[in-house]
Amino acid sequence: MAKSFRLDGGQIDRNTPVNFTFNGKGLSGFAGDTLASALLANGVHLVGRSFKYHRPRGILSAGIEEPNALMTIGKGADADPNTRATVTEIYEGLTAKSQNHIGPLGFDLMAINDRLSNFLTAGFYYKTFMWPAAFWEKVYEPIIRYAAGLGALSGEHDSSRYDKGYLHCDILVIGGGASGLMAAVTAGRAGLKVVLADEDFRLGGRLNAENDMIDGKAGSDWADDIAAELDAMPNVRMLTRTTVYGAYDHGIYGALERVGEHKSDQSVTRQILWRVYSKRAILAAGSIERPIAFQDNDRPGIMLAGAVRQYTNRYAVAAGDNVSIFTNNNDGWRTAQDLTAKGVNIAAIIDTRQNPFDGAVDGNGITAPKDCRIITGAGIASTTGRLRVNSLTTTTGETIKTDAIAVSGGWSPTVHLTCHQRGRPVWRDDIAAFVPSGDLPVGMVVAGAANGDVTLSQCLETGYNTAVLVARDLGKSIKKNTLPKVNDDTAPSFGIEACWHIPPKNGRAWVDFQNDVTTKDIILAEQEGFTAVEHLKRYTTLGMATDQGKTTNIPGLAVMAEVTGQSIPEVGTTIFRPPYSPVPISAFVGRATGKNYMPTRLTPSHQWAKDRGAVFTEVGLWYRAQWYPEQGETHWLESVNREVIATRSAVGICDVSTLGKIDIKGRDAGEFINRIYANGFAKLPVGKTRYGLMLREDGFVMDDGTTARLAENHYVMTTTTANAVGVYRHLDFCRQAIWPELDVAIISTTDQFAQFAVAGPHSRKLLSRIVDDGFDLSNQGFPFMAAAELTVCGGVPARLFRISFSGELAYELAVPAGYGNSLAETLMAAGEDFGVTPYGLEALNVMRIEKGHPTGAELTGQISAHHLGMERMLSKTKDFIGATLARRPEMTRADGYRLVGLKTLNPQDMLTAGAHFLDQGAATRRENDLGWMTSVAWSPIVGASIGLGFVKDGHNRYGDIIRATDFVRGTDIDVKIVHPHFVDPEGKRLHD
Amino acid sequence: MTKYRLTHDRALGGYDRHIDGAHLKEETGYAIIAVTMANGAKRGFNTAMKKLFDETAPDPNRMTVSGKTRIIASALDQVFVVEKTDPATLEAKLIKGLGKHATVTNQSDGWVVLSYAGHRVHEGMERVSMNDTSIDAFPVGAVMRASIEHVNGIICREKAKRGEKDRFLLLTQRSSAASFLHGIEETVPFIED
Repeated sequence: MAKSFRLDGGQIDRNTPVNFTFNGKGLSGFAGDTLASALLANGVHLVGRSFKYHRPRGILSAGIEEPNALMTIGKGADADPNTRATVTEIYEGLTAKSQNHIGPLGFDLMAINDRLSNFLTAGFYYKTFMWPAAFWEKVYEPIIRYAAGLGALSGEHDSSRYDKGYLHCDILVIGGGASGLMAAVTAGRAGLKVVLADEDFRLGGRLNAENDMIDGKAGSDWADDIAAELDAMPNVRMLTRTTVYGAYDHGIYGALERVGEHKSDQSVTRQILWRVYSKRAILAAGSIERPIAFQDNDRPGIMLAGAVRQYTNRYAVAAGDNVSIFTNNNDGWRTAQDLTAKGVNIAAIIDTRQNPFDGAVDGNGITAPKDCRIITGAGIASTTGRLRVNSLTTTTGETIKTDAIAVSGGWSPTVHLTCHQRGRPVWRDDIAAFVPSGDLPVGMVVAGAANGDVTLSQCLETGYNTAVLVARDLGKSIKKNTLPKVNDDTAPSFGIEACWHIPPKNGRAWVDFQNDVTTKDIILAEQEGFTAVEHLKRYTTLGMATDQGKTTNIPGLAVMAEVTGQSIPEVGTTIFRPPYSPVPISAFVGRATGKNYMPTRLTPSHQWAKDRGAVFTEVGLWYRAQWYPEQGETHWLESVNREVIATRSAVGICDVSTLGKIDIKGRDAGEFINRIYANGFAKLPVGKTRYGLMLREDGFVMDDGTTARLAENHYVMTTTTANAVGVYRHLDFCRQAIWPELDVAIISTTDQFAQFAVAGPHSRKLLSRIVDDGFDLSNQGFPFMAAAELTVCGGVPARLFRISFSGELAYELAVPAGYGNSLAETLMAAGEDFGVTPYGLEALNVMRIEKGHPTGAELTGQISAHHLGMERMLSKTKDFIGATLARRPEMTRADGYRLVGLKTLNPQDMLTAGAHFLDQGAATRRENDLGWMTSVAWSPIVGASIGLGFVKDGHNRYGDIIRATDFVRGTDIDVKIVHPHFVDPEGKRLHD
Repeated sequence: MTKYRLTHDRALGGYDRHIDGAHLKEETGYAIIAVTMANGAKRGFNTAMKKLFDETAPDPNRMTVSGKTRIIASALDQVFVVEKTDPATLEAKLIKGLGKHATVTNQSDGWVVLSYAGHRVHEGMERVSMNDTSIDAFPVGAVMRASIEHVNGIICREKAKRGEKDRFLLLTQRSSAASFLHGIEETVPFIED
């Protein structure tokens, strides 16, 4: 049985043992453990391999900043790679696997890379893989990707649940340590609406890691009490296990709550992505400890001192039996003190400062461990140990046996969120760190260690003060309160004397553990001219990936500063961007998968069409029946041809409810429409419909459709499906902004009505069977372009329009949408003996092309009335939207583009939309371009592939043979320019 | 006399489901009539509305309740009059009562009405609506045009009944009502205790 490194005490639940596996080996910990603390308790330090050189790596930290202990958690499709063991709570049955090695973790075959490190320095791939160029994507990159990297996704569908939501608050408190809790409870007591977010599962931050006393009780107990008080406040929302990863405009923050990752039951929601709308935000995100770079400082067992302290105090785990301390500030001594108190042997304290505490260790709030070797004014020159550190050698030449080294290079305030809107932090010499500048995201204030406060009393005070400040800003007054009592007045000051790295003699000193960046790499970058901090980052990969500069930023900048002879603030920092820590893509997706991927709009007869086996297509958000296959039909074209022929020879019905329908009412409705359309509507009588052409201000065609006058002050406008929203918006703009004096009410009735086209020679006979008595459907009583309100099927209110998109004798019948399915059934029943056939969007399209009717494919926004051959519709006797600019010379030039019909010469040829036209024999060059094909269809009536398109001077070229060249599909065929009306060019059928 | 008769479908098939502390129900049988005030007719319009409902038209983002009639501000100078009755009857009543002071359009089939009530409704709403629908920010009688999971709708807060913490009346367009409903329905299992 492996030795346990578990100590007494801690904040774990020893009554709840938890079993888990690491690389297939069964281990156990306790509830309250992280995966990292449980591994350390089992004596496991080696947890992964480095990115490039495949060096053995151990746990460095105890928080989100962890660069080494990245694991794949879970199995199969739901496995989550690159998860930091330091923030992963263990649960019964958790399976963890180390990453980035071939063979066992302890004997990684790819460790050969470390032997080749001289060839793999910073930017090696820019220099090495230059030739041949074709090899880059096919040979080099795949090999590099195979050899280097982090964890891999399963490639399977992730069946886990991810959610998203929106929160609103007066104050968002980011961080639940001493400052954050103080700020939250102060604001909460004042009645403000507070959201408190902390990435840990236990509130308290460093209070849980230290032995501080507040108001006479342990800091962690004080944190528990405050958390309980906050939990009882209805105006406070506490989000533990939540990382605020981004600060965005207008006080909006992104936060990822890991609600279910710590549960054995994987069917629960794993994560919720919150968008938090805040009036103010208090950033109390604490600070992150930095390592010091020295030769072979990346061996497992070498950890951050604050983390070692946290494992000892919170998780009751010793980092080793014989721990050494390496520090440039007083914090390292604190670690030694805490470890000693728990009975862990301290092998040595190595302090880079010549004379810490003025030589008097005891009596400064620090007690030096007994029998401990203390070496000042020195550093660590090197270490040994293949899979775990086993000794260190100081710069004074002394070798010390040790199985763990706790390193403290000082603390960096967590300024990341303060920089998400281009804020630049400023340098503070006294703590040797960057702190937030005044250039913060609007509404944000910073408190505690994130602002450079180094003592607990300071953190509590600024937490309180910022809350008071913000509360007052929001109109709440807070009575002066006494702050909790903390006995840290006798504690030593931070006392840092900057020491960033110990130059290695014959090895490498690691600055960025995650990306295998050494001090040598930074020096090389400087030598090669990459001195600007952003260049340095990209050339060396310093601070990339999940680290984002958390542990690497300052040491890396310090080395660059040293070699360039600048100060650290002169070198500057890279820009911190969201996310602060990785956010899975699945969390951004949330519930928007499968049926939730996007909303759909269903027509009123959707169920009926579905029951008939219609094949649907998406038209925007609409689902429209494309065709209705019948038994024995094996190809969609068979169905479409049948539907076209049946409609033209008998009668067909088609759900056209998706067309935009806008009711326009009011005393000035007629005048309004007359100004909107380019053609005249002033004289449209009641009971009549007219085709209208609508232009934009720039004179190009916006939309077309019909408008019927149902009563003196009541019109119904139809729009194309695609432009329904755009036209409504246009009308509303004109009504409100251009002609507010007109009395006009516009209201969309698109969803109110189920509208069916009933088309074909038998359409009148069919309709006569469902309209109620008294309505004259005859050609005289209800002629072409007539409109009426009537009742059908025994009193159902309806609207009827004699209009035709197919070119046949046709009507459009509208009834309230709830009758949609029933109307479809009824039309089919009533027309059965006429051979009534439902037709879908495809047949509708074929028939409109056969009639030369333009639609979305033609109305691209760059087309004028002249191009469409509708120049005569532009009224010369009134003003209308687009009137002036529609008459620009280029818009109306005689030899400009004209809408024409195109027909193949060879019946085997198939036209393609998007093909460009060229004269026969002309070179395929842009200057010879004659125009383009907009719509194509196989016409069962013409018996050929036909199309519509724009051809220069097309109206004078009927009968000419030109080429339709499709560069995308590789076709080049001869076509004949013809009149766009392929069927019934005289329009006789419409009027019968 | 035609022998054919049409039957009227409920947009969501009369959906009615209790899910884990929330009751989500399609409210059927409502007449929804859009009323738009005529230009310059504010005084006459308000007088006519008062006479009809003993209430003037509510301000934007508000709803008033008069007996069994809800008057919901749906846009500037526009309201929806919502009542459980035959649409033609209510439409005729409004046309007659408001006269030249307003235009009246039947929207009963264009909109779907849902009630969403219970003790865990707020938790569901904050998953689907980016607007603050908490009781302090959105009190009883408040109305907003907002999107629910990318589908537009109108959210009204109503007085909660006994045993309920929150009660909302949600209106959405018929064609996308299934997506609207699905968006809300899907959130409920995601909410953990």
